[in-house]
Amino acid sequence: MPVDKMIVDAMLGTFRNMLQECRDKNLSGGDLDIMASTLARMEHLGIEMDDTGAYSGMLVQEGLFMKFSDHYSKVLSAAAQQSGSGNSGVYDEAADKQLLQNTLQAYRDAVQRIKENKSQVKEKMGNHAADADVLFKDKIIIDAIEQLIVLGESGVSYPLFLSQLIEKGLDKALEGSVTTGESLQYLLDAAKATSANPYLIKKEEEKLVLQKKHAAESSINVADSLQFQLGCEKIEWTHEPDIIKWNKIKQGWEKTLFWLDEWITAYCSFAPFIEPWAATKEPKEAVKESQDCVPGKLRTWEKINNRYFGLSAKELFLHPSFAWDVEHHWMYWSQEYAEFLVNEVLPACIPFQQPAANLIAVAEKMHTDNRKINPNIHQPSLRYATFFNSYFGEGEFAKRYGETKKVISNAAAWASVNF
Amino acid sequence: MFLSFVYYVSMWLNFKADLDRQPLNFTNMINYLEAYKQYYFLRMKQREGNEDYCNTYAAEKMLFDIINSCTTLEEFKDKIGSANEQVAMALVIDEQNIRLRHYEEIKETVKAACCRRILDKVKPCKHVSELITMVNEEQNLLNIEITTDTIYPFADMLFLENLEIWEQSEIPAAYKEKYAAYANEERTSIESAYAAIEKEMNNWQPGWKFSFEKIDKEKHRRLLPYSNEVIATQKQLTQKILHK
Repeated sequence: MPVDKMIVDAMLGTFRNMLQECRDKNLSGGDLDIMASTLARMEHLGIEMDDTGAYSGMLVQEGLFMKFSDHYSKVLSAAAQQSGSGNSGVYDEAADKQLLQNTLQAYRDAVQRIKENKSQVKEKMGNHAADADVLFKDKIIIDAIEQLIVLGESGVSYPLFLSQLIEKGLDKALEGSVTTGESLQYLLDAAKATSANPYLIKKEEEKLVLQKKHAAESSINVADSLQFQLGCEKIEWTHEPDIIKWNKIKQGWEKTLFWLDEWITAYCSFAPFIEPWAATKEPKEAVKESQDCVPGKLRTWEKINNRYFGLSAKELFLHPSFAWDVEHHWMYWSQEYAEFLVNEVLPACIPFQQPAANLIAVAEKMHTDNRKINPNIHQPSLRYATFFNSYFGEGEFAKRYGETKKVISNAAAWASVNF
Repeated sequence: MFLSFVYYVSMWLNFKADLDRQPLNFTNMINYLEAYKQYYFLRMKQREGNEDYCNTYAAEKMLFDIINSCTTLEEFKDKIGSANEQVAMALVIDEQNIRLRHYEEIKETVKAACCRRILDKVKPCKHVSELITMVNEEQNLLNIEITTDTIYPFADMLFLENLEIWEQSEIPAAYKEKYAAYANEERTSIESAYAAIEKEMNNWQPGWKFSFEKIDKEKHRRLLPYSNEVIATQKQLTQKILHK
């Protein structure tokens, strides 16, 4: 069975258009033949193979994308040279005009292609086509190209046109416009709205500062693209280990809380009638297994985390990731329940031991009083909705993803962490 | 040096004065030679004093010196030779050197190796088209190398953690058999995960095998937030499960 047609179309669509564009211009020659045979090979592999991963791997292994683009450049370059040499070989006004026209036509084609690509994206986005105007800053690059076209049409000679590109920095504007301060601000706002961890925000802040720094160094307020690209790689590189460690420690206390809740709730009288046990074939046996086995699993987990980070189960909660999640309302449990689990249940959760009756009573009461869940657990969604609406329009988040519902909980909001 | 700078500036000012006097249209005679001299002068000046682009500056200067010595464009056409190609090659050399320094600093060995390969191959290129093809080929190869330079699933300790929990937890005897079965499932999951990554990577690089040596390479090691002892133990355990 061939690779899914939709996937092949998405992968090869641009290449088919490029070949057609050359044929429409009546271009010919060895390079065009290679373009055609390369595309034919890509199409053939799409029919011959059945796995998308293997298919894309093969296209790269055989260097087919690269080969096609390489010969496409040669076809265009040969065409440009041909149309520029339609004179006696002497560089005169006619040759100069022709060269300038070829260049301007290439820019006009580029604008056309950018607009077409955006229209295709908008078509695919259906009802949310307007988002493309927020996310794709094509106006900036189109404006830069159109400035070039206006300059070229002003009656300047080709060499003067080229000189002014340099003087006015328009060549750099074209390079640098792909990464604008605006798009970096969007990513920073998204990171702040999400607030998953401090490093993700710091990364976006640093990229924006870097872009502003490089832009300020430029006479036309555009960051050098190579310097900016490498600078961003360095920022990613710097923070990646911290993000991984942060998430791993967070996993440590999350799982600890999960098991403490499972263990103490398993002793509550209603345990067999609530999830997860109610969903099992033998709820009572499942409850018994939680009662009997969770402490052993928890203490192995504690050993693992101790080996990784030198932190006991309780010390995991002192890591800044815990306070961060509380502060940014990611914590599922209420403060009183989390404190109960960490301060009272954790010391009692020992293999082959049972919790004291008073602990079970507290857990039952918190459950029936509906005080276990953080009353602000909906806040991250509200925070993200505010960000989303600020970019895509008031009420857009709710329209697409539904209203954010406030959780029903009788617990007090988190005030501070007391472990 | 100072004299040549004065020369460039005076030439530029004269050229600007000429432009200011002339409306920009073809009804006036255009001195194409002077206009091109100005263009190549600007290209050269763009790179002047920038150590990162010293090769490009030298090549641009050579090109400017050639046109500046000409009295007609035809003469320039005869003299230019491969000067334009040399500018393109110099630019590739400078940019790859900038990248190489960056990747060496952050110990991105795979990307640094690609820069070195390109730098080795620039000089033998005779034409710009050859240069472009070579750079594209190397970048294509780099994409494959980046994809296959992975230590997944080792980087995800979840499998081994689960295995340890099923095997080591203190639990009543009644559950021992059940937990042993869970442990076996986990071992199978580990084997499947390594087999799956090998299958996936073979799409990109036939014959690819998971490399345990790669784990200790700085690029991967710095992303594992564990001590050397922990890594060594986990490595040994995985090798035992995979019979390697």
